[in-house]
Amino acid sequence: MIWLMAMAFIASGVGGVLGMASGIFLVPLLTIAAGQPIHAAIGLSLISVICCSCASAPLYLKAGLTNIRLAVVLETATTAGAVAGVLCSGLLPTRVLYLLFAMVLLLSALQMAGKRTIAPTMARARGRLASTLDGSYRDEAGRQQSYQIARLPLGLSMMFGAGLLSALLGIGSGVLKIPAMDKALRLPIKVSSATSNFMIGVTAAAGATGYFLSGMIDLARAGPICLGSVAGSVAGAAALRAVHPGRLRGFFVLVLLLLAAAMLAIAFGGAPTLLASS
Amino acid sequence: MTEAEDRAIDGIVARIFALGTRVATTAIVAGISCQVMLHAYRLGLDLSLIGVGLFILLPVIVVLTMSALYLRRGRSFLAAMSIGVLLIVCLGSLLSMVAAR
Repeated sequence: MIWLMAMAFIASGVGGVLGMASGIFLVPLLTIAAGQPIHAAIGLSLISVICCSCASAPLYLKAGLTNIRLAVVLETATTAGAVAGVLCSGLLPTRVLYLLFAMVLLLSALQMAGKRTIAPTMARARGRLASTLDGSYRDEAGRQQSYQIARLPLGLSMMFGAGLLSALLGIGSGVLKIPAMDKALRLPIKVSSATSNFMIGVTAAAGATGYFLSGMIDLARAGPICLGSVAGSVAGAAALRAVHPGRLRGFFVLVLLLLAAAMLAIAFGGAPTLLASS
Repeated sequence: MTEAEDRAIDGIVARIFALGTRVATTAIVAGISCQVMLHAYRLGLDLSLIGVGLFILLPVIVVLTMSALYLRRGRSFLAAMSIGVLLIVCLGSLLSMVAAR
């Protein structure tokens, strides 16, 4: 119980500092360190993702950074993807899941190593729907900044993929959401982080409900995971004010690469787990 | 819809998240305390399950509230989108139950 709580705390805390969901760290921790089967780890990780999203959502909403009108439109695609992901998860061999996870870890490491940039909004006709979802937020200097939503259909299709990946692997799917928000929808980074945080909770809930009803969530282990995740996300948010995430990125790129190597090792022949099943 | 109305909806959603997280966390803490300190395993597990269930349902409750708020304010498109999300979640739950049998 203590181990599960500690793992969820570490994964959520690190995720909070780096602006990522906890799942990308928690699934490898649960499979490699705690010896959980990958389907059980994915179910528990989805619960952790929901807890982190719920715990941090009020902060972003009160700061006026979350665009819930845009989120609810994008959620139609992410939840549809999540339902498809839950249905596919039972059909894919575990080896494929490990391989997919390793690929996501590698891509996340690449994303983290690179600089995040927003493509400039092109001056061209936008759909009426996209213009109703435009918004504004206050920057650090207290100035009101307006932004426009671009290429909504492309964003929606990428969000379907993000939802599918989220339910399939128990992650927040930043690997697809970041390009969708930055390059397709062209949202400011703060708005995209806050809106994505709101969305991952709903997407993970769609996935977790499916896993729960299929009997793939170990409810006895879910309690400690929830507590660790809520505490971790609060600690991560506090640490974010004290630590500059840029300084930590190099270290966590290395951690992601090591986790990817471990997941690949399991996919191609199995690797010993560090702890007995807790 | 004015920006002030948008902010009001943001505030309601934030309050639901904050309250739901507090209630769910309290239920899980009470459940684990019962298991560890009082050795009341069955009661402890039940309390933990209530907390975990509330966490899973919390985002769905938020979307349900959003759909009601948008309907009341005559934002039919956003209300339809929220209801669409809820229907997809329900459809997914049904399909998962069928697949599990």
